[in-house]
Amino acid sequence: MLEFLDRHGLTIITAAAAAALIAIAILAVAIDDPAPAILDYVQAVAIIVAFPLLLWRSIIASRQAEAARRQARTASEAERETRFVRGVEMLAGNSPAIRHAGTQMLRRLSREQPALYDDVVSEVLDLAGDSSAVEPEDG
Amino acid sequence: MTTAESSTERRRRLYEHATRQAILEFFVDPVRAQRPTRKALDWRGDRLRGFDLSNGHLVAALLSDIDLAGTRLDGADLTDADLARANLAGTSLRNAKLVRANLADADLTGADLDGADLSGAILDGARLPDGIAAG
Repeated sequence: MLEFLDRHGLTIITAAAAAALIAIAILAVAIDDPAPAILDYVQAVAIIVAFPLLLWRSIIASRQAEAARRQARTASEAERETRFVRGVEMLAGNSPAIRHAGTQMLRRLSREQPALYDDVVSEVLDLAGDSSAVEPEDG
Repeated sequence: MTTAESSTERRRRLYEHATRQAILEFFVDPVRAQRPTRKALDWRGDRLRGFDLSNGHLVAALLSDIDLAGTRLDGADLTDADLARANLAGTSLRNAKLVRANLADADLTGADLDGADLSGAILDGARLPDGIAAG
């Protein structure tokens, strides 16, 4: 039902509005004093037309919001993946400063999304740690 | 070595040390320790001199034969850690928890154990700081 309204909402509303206008035109011709009857009829038609219109609009709005949320989530995931790859690349870099920045980047990522990145960052840093056992200079 | 080279080399070493420090901090982070999938640390035989692991979570860590000389472990939780034959000379272990830790044959000479909890720790053959006796 919701999918049907979503797809054909505008058509239904246009058709309902057109039908109402035709009905009003017929009534205006058929009745001697058409004003009160037409007013009642217009009100009834307005309610009948407004309800599916509101329903349709709320469905559209809800779907748009969901799509926006999904898009934001995808963008966020892509951004995190980019950071992860960049962090690993930096960790494998030649400059000690860049390696340090890569380490910090991966740590931050792991803190932000432990469920997604803690294990993998742990593995990466474990390997990096083995190759960077450096003592501070004395003094 | 020229002064410029010496300075560059010094900076490189400092960055390498900071990187290693950051990695170690990651592994001993008490917040990470709450994760159910976290594995016990295995740094057996590693050389980790001069780092700062204060307040680190090293519960049940495998640290036998590790070289931690001069390392700061103030407030660290080393409960049930295996530190057999570890070099802890000059280590700062203020208020550290060494409950049931295995310190057999460990070298603790010059270590600062002020406020450290050694209850149930195995100290067989350990070389303790002056003024502290095993038992």
